[in-house]
Amino acid sequence: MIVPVRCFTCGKVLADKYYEFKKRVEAGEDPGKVLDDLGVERYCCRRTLLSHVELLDQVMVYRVY
Amino acid sequence: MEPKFQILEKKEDSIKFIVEGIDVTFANALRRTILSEVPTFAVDEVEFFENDSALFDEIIAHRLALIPLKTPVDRFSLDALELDDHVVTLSLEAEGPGIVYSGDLKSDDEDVKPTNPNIPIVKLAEKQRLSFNAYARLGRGKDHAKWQPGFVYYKYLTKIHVSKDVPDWKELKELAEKRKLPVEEKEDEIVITTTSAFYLPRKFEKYVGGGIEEEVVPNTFVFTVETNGELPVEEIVSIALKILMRKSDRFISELHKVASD
Repeated sequence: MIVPVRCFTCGKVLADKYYEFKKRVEAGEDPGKVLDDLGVERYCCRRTLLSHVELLDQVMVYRVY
Repeated sequence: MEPKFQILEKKEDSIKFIVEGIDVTFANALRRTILSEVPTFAVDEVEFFENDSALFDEIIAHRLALIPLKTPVDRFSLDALELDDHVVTLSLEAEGPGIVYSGDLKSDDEDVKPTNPNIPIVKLAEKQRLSFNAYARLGRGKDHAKWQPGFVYYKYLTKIHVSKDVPDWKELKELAEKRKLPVEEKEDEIVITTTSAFYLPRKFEKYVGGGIEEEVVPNTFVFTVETNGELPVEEIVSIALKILMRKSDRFISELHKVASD
């Protein structure tokens, strides 16, 4: 739905890095290099950012009740 | 033997050091004390007044809880065994469209506020409103991971002896230097000190035990401590050690009581 605030496995705060990560990857940078750049070192954190799908934008246009 | 500390690397949010003269039980006790006993502030209760967003109240409350809050070291006795009962209110009122960030939270205590203003809490569409009061309390990691001050791990310090009879030993030397590990070259062997993880490439595996020996340096550990931002890293270690000491003291005095009965 929305980016997880922390890495599921180790608890590192990741949410603040996601939009920058997304922007840079969409601009054509190598995802691995961007993650290195953002200081996301462990593979648990890397997969958390890398595999996230932001679905909230599609869902939030509907009213919940 | 008096334990010896040597700091290898210090960054803003992490520290790496070697401790010499402690055993595994103590190293693990320190690690576990850091993870489960060092208190920090975290949102514990949220009162919602309005929430039109696509996320449920519970999800937003959960996300709020995971935001690290700056915990003033000098105002609270963090190393005490009893926690201070202090409640900080973080309030927020927002209307869409836009993203609500942790930086938008208004704290009633200047010292306790989100360390990172860029954590997205929720996205709001046009005309959606969100308003709540969140109450932050001191707590410990053993009750919930949101109160963990950071992350710790340790490894044994080892020395890898590579005999010069091993073909391509120069390759290992280069690899170790690339990983910034100290390498010592002797007449008939090289010695790699593993201050961080060092994995042998597969082609060298067959020489382990004949040409390549791994020597564990006794009673020596390489610790890495990371902080989420609530507390400075050195504080985390020193508070953990003080808590460990207080708990041991309490244990000894309980033992004395039992013995004198």
